[in-house]
Amino acid sequence: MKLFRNAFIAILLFAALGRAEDLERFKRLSEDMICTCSCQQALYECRMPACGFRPGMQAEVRQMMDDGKSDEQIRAAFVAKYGPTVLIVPGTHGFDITAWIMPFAALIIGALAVVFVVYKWRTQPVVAHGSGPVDTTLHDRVEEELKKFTPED
Amino acid sequence: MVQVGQFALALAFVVTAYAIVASLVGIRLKNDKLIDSGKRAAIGTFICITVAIACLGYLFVQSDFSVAYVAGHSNKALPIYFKIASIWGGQEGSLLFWGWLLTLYSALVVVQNWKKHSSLMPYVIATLMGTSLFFTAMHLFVVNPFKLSGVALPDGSTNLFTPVEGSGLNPLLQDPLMVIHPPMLYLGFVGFVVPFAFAMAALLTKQLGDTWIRTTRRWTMIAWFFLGTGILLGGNWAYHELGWGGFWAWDPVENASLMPWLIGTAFLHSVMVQEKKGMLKVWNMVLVTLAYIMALVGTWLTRSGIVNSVHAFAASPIGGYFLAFIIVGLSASLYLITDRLPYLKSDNEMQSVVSRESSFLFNNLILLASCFAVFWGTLFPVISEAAPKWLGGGERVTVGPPYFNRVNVPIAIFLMFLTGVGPLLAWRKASTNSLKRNFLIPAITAIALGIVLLFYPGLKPWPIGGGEFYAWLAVMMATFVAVTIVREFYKGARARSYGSGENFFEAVTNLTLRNTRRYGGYIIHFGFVLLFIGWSGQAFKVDVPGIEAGIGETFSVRNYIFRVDDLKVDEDPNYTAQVATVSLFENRKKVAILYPEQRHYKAGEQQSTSEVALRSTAKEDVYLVFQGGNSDGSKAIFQLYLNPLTAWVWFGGVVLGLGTLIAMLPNKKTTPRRPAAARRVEEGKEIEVVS
Repeated sequence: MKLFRNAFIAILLFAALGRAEDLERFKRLSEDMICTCSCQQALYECRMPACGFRPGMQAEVRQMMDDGKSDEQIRAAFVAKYGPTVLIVPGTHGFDITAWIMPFAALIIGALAVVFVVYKWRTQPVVAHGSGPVDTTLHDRVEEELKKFTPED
Repeated sequence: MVQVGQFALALAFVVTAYAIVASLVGIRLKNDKLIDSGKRAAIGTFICITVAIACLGYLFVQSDFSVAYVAGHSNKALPIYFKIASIWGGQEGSLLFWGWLLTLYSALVVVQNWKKHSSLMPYVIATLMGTSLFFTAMHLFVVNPFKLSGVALPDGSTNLFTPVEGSGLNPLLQDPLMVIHPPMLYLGFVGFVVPFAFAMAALLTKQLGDTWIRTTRRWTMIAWFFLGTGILLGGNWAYHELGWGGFWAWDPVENASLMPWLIGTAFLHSVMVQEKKGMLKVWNMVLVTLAYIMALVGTWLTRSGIVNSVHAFAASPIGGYFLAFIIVGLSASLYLITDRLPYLKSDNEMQSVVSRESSFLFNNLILLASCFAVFWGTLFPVISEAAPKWLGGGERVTVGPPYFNRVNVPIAIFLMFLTGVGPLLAWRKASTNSLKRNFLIPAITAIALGIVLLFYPGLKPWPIGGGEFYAWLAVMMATFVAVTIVREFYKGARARSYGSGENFFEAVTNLTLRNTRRYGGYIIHFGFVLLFIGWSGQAFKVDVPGIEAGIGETFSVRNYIFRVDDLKVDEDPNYTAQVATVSLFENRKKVAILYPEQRHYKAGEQQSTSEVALRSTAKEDVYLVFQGGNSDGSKAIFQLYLNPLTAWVWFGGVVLGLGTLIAMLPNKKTTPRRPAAARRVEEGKEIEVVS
């Protein structure tokens, strides 16, 4: 009797675990895709009142999960049906990879530039302090003023 | 009133053009009267646009639907404050509002600076009015808010008619925060035009000393304050109005406001290096120009229809004009900066990588990298579509929130680290001893907290790079920064208290007021610490969709029990609302009554919106959304979110605003009180020993 009871509990636990796994998978998949209702949110997160797209799309995900399709197959089926814009982030192949690379490439190039600037500043003394080229009018005026104050011999 | 508004716009166009010509020709001919008339024309532009916007406001209040813009964004039953807010509820009106704020700023700048910076001002006016002329031309010729209602006929003519009722304001905008959020945002955007105008004036006059940088810093702080406040108010609006449980969705409009703010932040830091050390002069010019350009780019992105956004305006012809104006503005300013490079040489050299100067350089790098990541992600759908097929492009892709989070979160965490490190490094070169003295205790505290958090129930070691891992790292960094700030206040106040005899709180207050920039800056950083902690909480959000419950029924999530007490329908002239009354119990004790609503607006397309019910505490927000009835109408459907630490975000925003206001105050000049020992001697409590 005890064995039956334990087996029953184990089956229930497995069922619950399976359901939790299914929910987790459903959440993950519908977070990877965008709702086509123009809310610009993940299919899982779309809360547009009376959204005409979310229930149907979510049902499609569940149906494909029940049919035993893999995550990749489900994503591919959605891309085939709704186009590549259904995926919430760019892929990692073709031109899409630049979406991911460029920000970090810019950061690295910027960091190298900063290091270069600091190095250059440290090794090359600054030529002149303060001003740039002297404005000629101003220069003449300063010369004129100076003449006035030059002590006569 | 329509004719008055039209006339005011036409007059504004002429007066703005005159202000530019009079200022520039006046300088050329050294004619003071002409320069003065240019100044008066700049103020005149403000008066003209004020009349135009007042006319539009009047037409909204009167529900005069003979004007297409009023008919398209209002209806008779709309409350008066929303009618006024409708001025900026659509394309034409919001651009007019942008233009009006620009003329308001211009008038203030002219009045405040005319005597102080008389040689710069004609160029400042010419630059401000140059931008204003572009906007006035847009109001007048491209997106005229006074265009009459009518139907275009096939022969090209328009059959004018006045609709009986307007289409109404977008229901999502019918929220008290929408009355204040857009003005704040626009005050921020437009504010960046002023530093740009001063920078251009300094370049043109070759007066590249301290004057322009001091004035520019103050105006940048004002713009930065308004833009930051606008962003946070927008986040708060999205949080309680859109019903998806979050406050930031990386929408292109949000991104458009974030980009100039990030550049403004970089400038406010690097400007300190120029003030103290006479370095980064070219860089600061570039940042001021970029902040201005990004404010325009943001407007272009959201008005042109080039990117999809929930709150972008429909595609319109202004995109091309904006792009052309941006290209001209950017080219002209970059040419000017390049031409004046010899005048922008550094006064000092960098002596060490471990110094405050270099930490500010890295801070700028991180802020700009973050700005670039946002810019790249926002524009990537367009870029990928335009890219040639042989490069793998040619197709539009979506760049959603997960992209921005993955790219920006690590950058932001590193920025938080620099926030703690930068202000405590010495100028020129920091010694190993000072590094130990300043950072050992904060680092140990942060690491200790990180270890403790790993053992906190509900938390666990996560996969590196996951949201929870970043949240844990962010809390550690925030702690590190918080400890450095608290220690700075403590050390400063203790020293002051010892020297002046003030009690600790007096000492903290006087310390802050006597060096508002430094301590205001620390308070701003502390605000960011709180914001970071709030953001970290979002990684542990609980989301329970599709809860069905009828009157008298309960549902429970964690230690909360919800009991549906009532479901009713409320009628308002503007909408019909289904309202649920839900009692909330925490640990079996009743703590709140929640009233989530779903509204169905009567005007226009009869849209529905959710009015979220919130119970906010420092620990977490209980966020209940009423999604309507089930199929047979017997039960209500709810969506529940438990959002940890969200209140920290709003509180952090308040602290940040307070810090900014303090940093803008002039330093208080006080006579120091006599040392405590001396006072005790005077009061006879101690006998002075004369040796």
